[in-house]
Amino acid sequence: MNLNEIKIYLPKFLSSESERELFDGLKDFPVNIDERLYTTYLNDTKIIYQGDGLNNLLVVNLPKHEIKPAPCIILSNTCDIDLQNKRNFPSQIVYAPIFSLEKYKQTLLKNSEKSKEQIVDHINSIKKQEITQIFYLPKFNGKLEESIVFLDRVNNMPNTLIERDKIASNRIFTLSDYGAYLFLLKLSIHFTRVQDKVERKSIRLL
Amino acid sequence: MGTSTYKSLANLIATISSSVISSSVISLSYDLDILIPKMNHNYSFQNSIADWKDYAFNQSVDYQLQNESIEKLQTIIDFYKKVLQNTKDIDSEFVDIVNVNFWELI
Repeated sequence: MNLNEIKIYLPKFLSSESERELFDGLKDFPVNIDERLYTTYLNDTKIIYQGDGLNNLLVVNLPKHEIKPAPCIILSNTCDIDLQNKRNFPSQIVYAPIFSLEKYKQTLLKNSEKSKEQIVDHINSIKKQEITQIFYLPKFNGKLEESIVFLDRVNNMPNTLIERDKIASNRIFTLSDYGAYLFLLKLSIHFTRVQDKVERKSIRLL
Repeated sequence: MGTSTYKSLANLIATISSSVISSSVISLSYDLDILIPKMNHNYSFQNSIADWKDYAFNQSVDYQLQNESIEKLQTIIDFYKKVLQNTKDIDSEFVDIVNVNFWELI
């Protein structure tokens, strides 16, 4: 495998400096699960990027009927939700609510039958990105306290309902190249891992 | 006269000694091969150069730094291993607690 083949699996359009930063990020994992997951480089753009944190997206926790606004992380692919791309079948925007890690920890301590040590171990595993269903969001100074996303609690709404002119003020964070790469890897592990240990035989045509 | 003769002899001995040392074979304690960069070189010749502008900014096909490719590939493999090796599922009791306390956790 040569360099060109490897680059197929990397985020496209990276400058050499950004590519070096990405590889440094991948090399340093997991001691760099901190603000390096985020970038301020794209703050003023009116595009919603995959992995963006946005305020006030509508969330429902089925089967309950209650709908409330909540901070959420965007799971949709950037291209699929870019309004510049005209499509015959426009995509809904897909996202998942962002939860406070501290509130989660305190709620477990209050309600769980597990020991405090077991809960603390679980929280530490979350911070090391070891839980397949959870994406950990480190503190982003002035923007976000330590948070978590349950990748199996997904919502969707019409993409056009989110006003792009207000995105800059509504955006909590954008993931860096390294952060986006980690996010995509965790999404793929959660949703698309091939080795699910299930044998599926085909229907035999007579 | 005596002094200058001694100096001349001393210079002669020093010259001979240095020439003996410089012609000695010294055995090095390390392997020189590892100091030689490993590269792949493939040189191709184009018959037509009329369309050179179309390809001027493409990466050269006839020069690759093999070590750079391997290092990047290894970085990606190591990263995947580090993410995957300790993965674990969330406890079902914790899931139930989140379901009940959903809105309080946001």
